[in-house]
Amino acid sequence: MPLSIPRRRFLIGLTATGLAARWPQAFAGRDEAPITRSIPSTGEALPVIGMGTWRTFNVGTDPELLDQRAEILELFFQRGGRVVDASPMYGSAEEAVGELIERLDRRDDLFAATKVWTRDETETREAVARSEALWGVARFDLMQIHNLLGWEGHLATLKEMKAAGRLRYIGVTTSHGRRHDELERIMTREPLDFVQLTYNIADREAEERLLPLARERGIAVIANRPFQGGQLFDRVGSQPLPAWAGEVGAESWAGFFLKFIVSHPAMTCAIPATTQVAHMRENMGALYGRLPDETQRQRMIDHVQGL
Amino acid sequence: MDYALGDFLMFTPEVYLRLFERTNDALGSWLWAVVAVLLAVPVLLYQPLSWGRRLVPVVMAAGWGLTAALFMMRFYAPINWPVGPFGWVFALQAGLLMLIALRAPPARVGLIALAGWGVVLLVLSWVTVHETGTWRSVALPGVTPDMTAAATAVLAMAWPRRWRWGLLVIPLLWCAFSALVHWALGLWWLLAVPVAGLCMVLTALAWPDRQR
Ligand SMILES: NC(=O)c1ccc[n+]([C@@H]2O[C@H](COP(=O)([O-])OP(=O)(O)OC[C@H]3O[C@@H](n4cnc5c(N)ncnc54)[C@H](OP(=O)(O)O)[C@@H]3O)[C@@H](O)[C@H]2O)c1
Repeated sequence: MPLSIPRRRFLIGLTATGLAARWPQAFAGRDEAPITRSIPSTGEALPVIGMGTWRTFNVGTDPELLDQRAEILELFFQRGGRVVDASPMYGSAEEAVGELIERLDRRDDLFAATKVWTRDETETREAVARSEALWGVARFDLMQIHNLLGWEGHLATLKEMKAAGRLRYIGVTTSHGRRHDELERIMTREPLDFVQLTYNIADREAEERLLPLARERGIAVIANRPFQGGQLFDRVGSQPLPAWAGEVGAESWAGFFLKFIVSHPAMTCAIPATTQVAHMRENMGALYGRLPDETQRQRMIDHVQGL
Repeated sequence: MDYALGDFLMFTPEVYLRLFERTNDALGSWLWAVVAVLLAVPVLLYQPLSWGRRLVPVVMAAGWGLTAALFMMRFYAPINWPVGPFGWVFALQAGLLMLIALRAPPARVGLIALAGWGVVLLVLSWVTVHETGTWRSVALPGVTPDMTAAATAVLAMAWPRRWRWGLLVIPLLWCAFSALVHWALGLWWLLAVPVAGLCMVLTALAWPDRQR
């Protein structure tokens, strides 16, 4: 079958940018290396900006939209991204990610993170196998229990699978500040590698107990809804960035919000989601440059609250 | 931090709007056959002879079946999992209409009533075009679910009232579900279609039987 034009374009682009694509800082046109954080349980370094797929990668079998999402994903990897987060709950997102990773030949760059999402606590292995088939990976880097659904049964099996080398890391997720008490109990008792929770400049509840606990227990933290599902942009509207934004390493509002998140000492990575190439470029800008210190973080909060 | 209705939606308006164009593209030149059949429906309903009118529920059943197989199961269900079960419910409605075709032909309908409802359906068909800017996304009854449900509500008025409930439960449920989806997507113009469908279903349920 002849290659479709966008597909051919990707292949040509892949060859042309070949080397540069594997050295993201060179592509980024900066001398700096991407900002990374270590996963406490192993010391493995991860880039602090990852990518979410909720809504944005649920494009079904639409060839036009798949081509457009491939551009976004390729840019993500070119700019040094690795962590891609999905879930069986996100419609066809896992399938789309699997197809595009293969098309772009990016399996080696990918840190594949998905979730078990089923009430049936005896179905963990089947759920993992289904996701592996959709993503086209032999094993996941990170398997999380989505919104703590059936967590006891699933976690027991995930621990066994990790011990047998079938998974690299395990974790649990929540969002919208839900079930934080239960999450805290699980973090205290269970040997988790990761937790995923909602944290952004407007939703900072996790700072009180969960983030300090994650540091104490050596658990990596992924921040979901880093832009509050996009509402943070509505809040700032067309207002310009504050004059001092450069001091905190922000060149755009997206960068401002992401730098705030990843500068928290407990944070490992934030996973913004987008359907637009230009937005991906902005988001990945936050992987480079300065991070705000504690005083500057407070200034950022005050500024957003004052808007 | 509270959930909004939009937090339960798994896809963007862009992906949803593409469904109309993709369904029409998949039909290719068969789309013209659908248009021809749609134009034939008022002619059949105007027939004094019952055999012609008996074909109407068969055509409607075919429309529900086509909508279930193509728009719902092939394109919509992969991005919105509750639509998968709804696809089977649509197939059930097709079966129901086939049963009705065997039992009772619709009554003869007057020209003015036909023309009036035809205009309403025509306008609703073009709302997607207004939203996307391309005529390739036109939403036809018998191809797209909201329009299929709305057209069924109109046609149901040609049956006695006691039959209408059986015919309209599924269109009612679908229009309510679809209105919520459009609301959550923020597609305000397009929301008019399932809302109009709901109004048509309720009108059809309340409409008195014709005196013979
Ligand atoms: N329980 C869980 O496990 C859970 C719950 C929620 C989220 N998550 C994960 O976290 C990820 C992120 O959360 P989210 O998708 O809910 O919300 P989010 O990343 O906070 O926000 C996404 C929204 O921000 C907009 N956006 C992105 N980059 C932008 C930019 N540079 N400028 C302007 N607008 C921009 C996007 O619109 P455009 O498309 O126009 O860019 C989109 O509407 C999810 O995709 C998912 O993987 C997990």
